[in-house]
Amino acid sequence: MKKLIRSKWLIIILLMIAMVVFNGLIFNVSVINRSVVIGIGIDYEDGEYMLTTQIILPKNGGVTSGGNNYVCYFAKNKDIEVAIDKIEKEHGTTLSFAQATMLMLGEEMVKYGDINVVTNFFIDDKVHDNLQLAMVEGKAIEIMQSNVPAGEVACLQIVKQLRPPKAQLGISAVALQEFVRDIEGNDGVAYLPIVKRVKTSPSVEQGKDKVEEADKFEVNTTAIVTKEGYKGKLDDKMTMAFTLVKFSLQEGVLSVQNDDNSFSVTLISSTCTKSYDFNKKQYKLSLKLITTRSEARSEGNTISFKLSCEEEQKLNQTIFQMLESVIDYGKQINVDILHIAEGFYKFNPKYETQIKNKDFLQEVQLKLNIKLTQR
Amino acid sequence: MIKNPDNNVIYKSQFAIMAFISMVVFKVAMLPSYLYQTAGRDCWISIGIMLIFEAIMFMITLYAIKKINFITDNTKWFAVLHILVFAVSIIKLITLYSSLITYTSTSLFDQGRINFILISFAIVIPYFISKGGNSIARLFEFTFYFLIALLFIMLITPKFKTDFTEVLPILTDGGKGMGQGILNYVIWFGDYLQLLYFTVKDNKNKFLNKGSVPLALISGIVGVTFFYVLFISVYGKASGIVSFAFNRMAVFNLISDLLGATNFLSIMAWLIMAVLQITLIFYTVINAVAYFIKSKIWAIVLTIVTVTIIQWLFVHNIETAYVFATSFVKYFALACQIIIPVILAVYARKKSKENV
Repeated sequence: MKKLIRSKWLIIILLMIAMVVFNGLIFNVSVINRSVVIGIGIDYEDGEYMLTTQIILPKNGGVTSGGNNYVCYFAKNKDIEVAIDKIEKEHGTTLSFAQATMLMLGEEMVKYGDINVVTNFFIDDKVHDNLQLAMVEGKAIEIMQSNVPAGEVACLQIVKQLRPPKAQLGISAVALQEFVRDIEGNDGVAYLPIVKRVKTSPSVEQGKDKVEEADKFEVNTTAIVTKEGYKGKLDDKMTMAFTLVKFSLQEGVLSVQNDDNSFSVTLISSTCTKSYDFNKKQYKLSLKLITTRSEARSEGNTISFKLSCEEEQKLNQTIFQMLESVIDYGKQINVDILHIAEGFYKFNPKYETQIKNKDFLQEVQLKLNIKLTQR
Repeated sequence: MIKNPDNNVIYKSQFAIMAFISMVVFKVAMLPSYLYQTAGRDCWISIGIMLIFEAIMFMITLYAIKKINFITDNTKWFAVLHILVFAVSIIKLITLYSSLITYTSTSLFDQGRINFILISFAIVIPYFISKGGNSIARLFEFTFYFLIALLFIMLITPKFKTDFTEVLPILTDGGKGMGQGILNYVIWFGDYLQLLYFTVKDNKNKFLNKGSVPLALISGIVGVTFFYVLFISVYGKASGIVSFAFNRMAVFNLISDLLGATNFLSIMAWLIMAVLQITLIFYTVINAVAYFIKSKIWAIVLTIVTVTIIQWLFVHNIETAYVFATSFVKYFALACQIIIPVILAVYARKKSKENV
């Protein structure tokens, strides 16, 4: 008995049999019956959810023989899980969400649907936590079926715009993990970039000219969302200010309106540090910016890309106004967009009652300190 | 008594590697989410305190097993200790084994059937154990360098949006939640008990002999506590609904956006560590059983069959295991985890004095 159990050959043979037999019994879905979902869209219509899944269709030979194409499968139901089941049954396929890059929520979905649908995707671990989220103007299904130039897939195109190699000023990209962290947070305020479809000129692909109009996407505005749903929209200027506070940025151009003329500043990098002075009721932001003037200006006989003292002041003033407009807009819609009260609570927990009072945010003043380094 | 006790003699450096892997593996899987549900954002303090306690107990265990061989020592009252070690280890095995099975079924398969996974493990694990204690230590040793390489890649490639203020404010409830967190999850601690059935000998290398164990324990404490801080700063209040923290966090490990996430590394690293740790717990249970039935082979067969049947028929899923682990059994486990190594250390000291 002892000799038999200790025999490595017995174990190797058993493992080989097990590998073959178990693989047959474990009901793994073959690649032929599997649909790789790269984008998910959810719309809300007449009290039901319309689930759209954008699926990659690999062609023979893949990219080299004409590239990948895609197909959209959709189903409508009050329950997302039932909608998934419906798609799978209608098309005889198993949807694989692990490779999904994008979850798009239609305007109606964000405004009137249950935002917990997104949290459920997170809890079920159906998709990965790095999945990009966005709200679309109009319907998600329409955006997903857009005619994107050069044979690109809409979802992948939007992901490319939301997550360029360098973090951009004015692009408020959010991953599923961050969205759920915000929505489950104490103040429950989250944000979503808004995707807007606009028409562009026809694209020309190698070998075949496309004459019909193509679609392109704008992603420079932001929706403010709470557990109750949609609360408001930050325009492009406010989104720029929002991203300055929220992220460390590496690229962007900021337009500054001067009294007599306007100029633009190229942002090379930015970092923002927040502090909270409870006694003075001050929300202090320290911005470290590395910039250069986008266009050269003449300084006597020389040409300079540096901002003049006056221009520096104007830049500071512009950023301050942009940030204040975000805070003021938050006060208007009664939402703490920059999580200011939450920040005060984290550093001053003993004043919890005063901080959580509705009027507290109205009394808080913004103090901005900008450290500008010019290249 | 087992006839061939020498196969449980290991080097101090091997003890260090086993201690490090034991300290890390199951504490970075389901426990972060459980601890967050109980202790909230203070859970990193709970884990820090528990790990410091565990490290001290590892040192006490090391002291004891350097001087005595728990398998061959004929002291009569050791039978009580064997029963207690068996009881704690079987509780631990039922709890943690279900985590491994659930993880394997969800991370490797679409509709993973736990019965087939159980059978697969029931073939592999006894084989490791049949080779003896020092073979298990060697397994730990040669997979360790591979694990370190995987963990290093994971450490240098993360791209998450963290908010470290999520751990603030601390101890607003006066430490009540933190205390509950410590008490509720004792089953996930006490990994030093699994090293009682080994005997340690010194390494020839001076550094390995003196430094390996403290280095492993400190790395374990710092690494796991930092992981918890990172976990809370990534998931914030959603931490309580994140299953398998280690795997979920690894999704943010991107070598490049084009190549995608390297979370397959986390699956490999965790599965290797978990299988080794479960093997170690099985080894403990089997040795405790073998002490009474006097046959290691039959102890292996009996233990594997019993545990497999329990998992298959009664435990079913991770939720049942969680309810079981956080029931009254935790008090029994806590008492045993403190008493057993201390008694053995006192006995070892007395015995070494007598020998002098």
